[in-house]
Amino acid sequence: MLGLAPRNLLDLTDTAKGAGRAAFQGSVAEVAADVKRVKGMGAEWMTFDLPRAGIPEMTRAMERLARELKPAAA
Amino acid sequence: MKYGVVLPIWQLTVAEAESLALHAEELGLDGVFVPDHILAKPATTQHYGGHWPDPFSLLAFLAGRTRRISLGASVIVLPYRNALVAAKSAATVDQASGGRFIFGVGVGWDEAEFVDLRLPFKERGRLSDDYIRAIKAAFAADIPQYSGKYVSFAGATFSPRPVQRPHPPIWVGGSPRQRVRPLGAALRGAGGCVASARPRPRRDREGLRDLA
Repeated sequence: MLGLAPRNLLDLTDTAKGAGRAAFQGSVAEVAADVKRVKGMGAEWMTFDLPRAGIPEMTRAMERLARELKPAAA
Repeated sequence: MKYGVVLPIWQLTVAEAESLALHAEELGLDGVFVPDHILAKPATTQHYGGHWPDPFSLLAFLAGRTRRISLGASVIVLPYRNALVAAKSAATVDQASGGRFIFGVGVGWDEAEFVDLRLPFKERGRLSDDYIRAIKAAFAADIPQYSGKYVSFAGATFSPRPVQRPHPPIWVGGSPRQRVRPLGAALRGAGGCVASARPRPRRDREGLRDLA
């Protein structure tokens, strides 16, 4: 049994990046659409690299992942 | 869908990694992952940093501090450690965490690091393939046996074995077409999973189909 677990940098922005953006980068709605796309391809896990910044920024990114992205991609 | 975060351990103290892992668990996230380097050569320090705690030791510590969240490597560079040493470390983390370990593995990319570790960079795919087979064999019986090109053993007890049977999930990092294909034979029947650092979902899925 083989599966798929994409990994990418977590880069949630406050405004939409629009056309030409990199996958998993952009607003919550944009990244949620990416997550739904890979979910549709059979991915069971999505792993994100935390931003290479200070602890507050990493903490904030995890909180946005849990409280905003996860519900939006459900 | 489950969600995990990869901790940038090259810029974290152990206490900071602990704090982030505990917060991830409190937030209801599903996994915390750590990467792996033994030596930080210039190509590694340029992109990341020079501070690389041992991933198995760090995960064992986090296992004792958390209760629910999965703890994984993303990824253990298989050629860096003797296959049985890696198997023992992985089994111990799985025991310490009560079966929450995810065994992410990769073949490595920093050739200079391989040189200093006196490892055959150009053979890393074949070597890793053999190591995965050996590790799976070590997990399969109290007195396992295996005979491969790079690893052979028999007639000894291997304990503890992992809590998860037949073994923890094995994730292989990289693109299926570029890095995972050499590991395809070893992955069959392993419950393997591809964690792509630069996901190209459609292409990855095609690569997985080729491996199946």
